[in-house]
Amino acid sequence: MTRELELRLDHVTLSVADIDAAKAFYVAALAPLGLGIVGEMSARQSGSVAMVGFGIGRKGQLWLAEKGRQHPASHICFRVDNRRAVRDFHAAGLEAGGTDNGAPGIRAAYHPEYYAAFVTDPEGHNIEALSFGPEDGNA
Amino acid sequence: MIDHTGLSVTDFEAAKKFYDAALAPLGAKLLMMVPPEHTGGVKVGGYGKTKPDFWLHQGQKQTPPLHFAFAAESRAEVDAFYKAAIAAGGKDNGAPGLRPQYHADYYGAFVLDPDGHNIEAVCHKKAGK
Repeated sequence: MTRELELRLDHVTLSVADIDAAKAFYVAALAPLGLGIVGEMSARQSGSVAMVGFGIGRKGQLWLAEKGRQHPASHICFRVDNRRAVRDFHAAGLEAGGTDNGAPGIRAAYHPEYYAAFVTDPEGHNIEALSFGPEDGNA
Repeated sequence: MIDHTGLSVTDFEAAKKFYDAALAPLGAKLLMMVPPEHTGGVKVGGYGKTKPDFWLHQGQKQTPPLHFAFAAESRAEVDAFYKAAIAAGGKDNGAPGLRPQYHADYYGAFVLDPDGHNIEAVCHKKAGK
């Protein structure tokens, strides 16, 4: 068995106050990163609160639960293999109601190849896209 | 994929004790503390295997509680995570076992950390793999 080199977050659940608004933001912002909706449940279906999950294929990586506005907000960073996807994430996130929290560019303080962009979602969560890769690739 | 995320913790030393124990069976440990001169004196530390993937920073309690699931490479790792997390003061929130409502090979365990966040280890592989 090959050991994974990284401690991997299988999935994370954040709370939001308005799941419809949050969903619209994440659908747009995460599409350039290759993530889409993998599951969705109304409060009635889940037996608790409305939820929506984003991931690749069938597996959810980020779940939103409509439990109310979370305080303090969270930070989540998604890694992709090319810089174009990072820029597309930033542009799409702003277009979809997010707030700029750091334009696409190298963050040399972290690593010479750390190319990232930051967008604050409608609920205040700080969402980042990061690439150590080349300009283009198979996001 | 998620590269990194983190958690605001009310008692850094209590959280460190819990996560040191809970994440060790997954092969992770506290890899670095950010120098206090870069954080304004706030304790910030990152857990991982080869790079920090999960950050704790001293601060306010996050509410509603969050849920983090860490990928385990075997069911034995899930079992070890649960045992270590409970021994370190975590509160049972679901013993190791299959959760077929998610999928047939979803083997998870759930423990509440010192601030009440729901921490899970999950293995998606078939038994014995």
